[in-house]
Amino acid sequence: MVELSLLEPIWLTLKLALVSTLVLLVLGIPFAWWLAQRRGWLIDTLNTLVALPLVLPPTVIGFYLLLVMSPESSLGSWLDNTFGLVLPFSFTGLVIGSVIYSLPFVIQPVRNAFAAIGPEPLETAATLRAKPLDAFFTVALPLARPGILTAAVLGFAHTLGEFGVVLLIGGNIPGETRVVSIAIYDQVETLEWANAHWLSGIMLLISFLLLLVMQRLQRRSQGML
Amino acid sequence: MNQIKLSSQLQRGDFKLDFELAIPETGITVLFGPSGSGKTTLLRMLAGLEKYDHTQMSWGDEAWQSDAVFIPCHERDIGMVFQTPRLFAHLNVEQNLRYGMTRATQPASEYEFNELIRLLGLGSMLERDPSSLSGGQQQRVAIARALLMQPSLLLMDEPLSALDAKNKAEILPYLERLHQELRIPLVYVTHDLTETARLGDNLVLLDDGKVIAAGPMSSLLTDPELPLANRPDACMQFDLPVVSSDREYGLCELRFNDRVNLEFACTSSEPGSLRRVLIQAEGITLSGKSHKTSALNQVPVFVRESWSVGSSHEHVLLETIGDQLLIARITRKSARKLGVEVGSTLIASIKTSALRGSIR
Repeated sequence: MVELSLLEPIWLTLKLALVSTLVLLVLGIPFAWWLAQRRGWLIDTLNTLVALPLVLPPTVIGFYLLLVMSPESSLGSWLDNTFGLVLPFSFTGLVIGSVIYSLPFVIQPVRNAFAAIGPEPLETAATLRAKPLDAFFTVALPLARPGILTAAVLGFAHTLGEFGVVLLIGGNIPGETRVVSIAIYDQVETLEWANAHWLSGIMLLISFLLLLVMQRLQRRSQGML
Repeated sequence: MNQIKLSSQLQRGDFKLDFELAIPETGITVLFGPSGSGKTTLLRMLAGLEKYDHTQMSWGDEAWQSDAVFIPCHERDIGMVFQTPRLFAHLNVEQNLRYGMTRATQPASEYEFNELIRLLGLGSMLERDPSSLSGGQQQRVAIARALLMQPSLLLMDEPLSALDAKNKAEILPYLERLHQELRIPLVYVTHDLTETARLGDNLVLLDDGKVIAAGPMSSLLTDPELPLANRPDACMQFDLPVVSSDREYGLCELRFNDRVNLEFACTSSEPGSLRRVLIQAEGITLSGKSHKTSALNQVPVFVRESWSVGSSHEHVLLETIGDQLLIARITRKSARKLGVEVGSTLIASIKTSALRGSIR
């Protein structure tokens, strides 16, 4: 049987994915809304920046994050002096890395969902005396729900598979930064094939189930329309 | 008078508006004009859906838009019905109906809610999803949704144009009934002349961003200087008192003027009540003197004016002894045969089928 400590990286990974997804949704939905409402150079630039993690090697993201977070950098030393916060090789640092790494997977579906709604339902809400924020919560958000669900599942699933960013900014601290992808790498390096099998198998199953759930959700929302 | 005043000198690329307009505080005012004439933009200005440049709007002494003021749509006491129903897809019919009610300052009471649902025949649909309704049913829900807020100004942007003839015929009588009960102004945009004449009390004619005429419907319909009197489907509008109704033949007798009563097909009407009647120019035939014809309604008239419309037809402007104006659309050949001249006295026969009444 598997030892319980072997499962620790799985719990940590799920926790990281969950926290990152929540952060992404809370920050990403208003941001995506804002992006969907506007046009112009600034918006194009921001959209491009959001898309960058799709094409960059994760190690590039990790490398820059490490530079920015490092206590020797101005931001890092300010964080250390003001809040006593040292981000590299910490769970919080990993969350920041994951948020950036999974950014396009959340922002893009949500932004597209908002754009697909178009201006008409919100105009209609205004003629029915709904203030803009009211209309956002009672019309735009419910209408964009399928897109938001897709974004949540994609953001979560993508964070599960993170490796390069973690390797650079998180290292391999058990219970703090040793996520499952790092743990598997470790087990293989030390020729613990059985353990690697267990971890990989569990991840395979979780990922498969997640994507299956997403398929079902999309099918249902299509049937609804 | 508490008029609604709207003026704009908006320029957007090729699109230019330049008008000043006063809308009476009662009755239905129709904004009529070809597409691209600015009708919908005018309505959006009244609704405050966009903050247009160089535009002023006021109601009585309250400014809704000026250089210093802009009251956004969600703070204006209006109800709006768009070309398409625009029901919220994530809410069922009842939730759609109540969306505006819960946010309005003086919404309809539960009693009024139930009354309106009954009147519009929406009772069986309340639990359903909007997508399961026909286009006509959806538009009825949209009309109810706007009415339930009990706004002080109603705006409708071609509410029937996206519907087929059957659905149109289903909603139009309801709008006519609404007309009778409505105590607030309704601004109605359309490019359909029949809708215009059936519903409208006042008319604003738009062309190319300009107001080319504005005033009471009945007088603008027969003004030879305006394009309406020159259309093949030209028509006239009269609100006439019911004298009696004849069940046996299914006819109503209406007082046209001191000398003439008109008869037309209708369901029974209360004597004394007003009936709105449309007369099609094409449904009027002219003759030299009274003779036997299948047309029930014969009106002595004299010719005020006549002019050619297209290559084959002539429109004749006629005046009755009650100073009412009629336009007859006849072929040029028959005008020549009859000898239609300014001042000549004729008999105008109005086919009952050319009379279209509405509930008033």
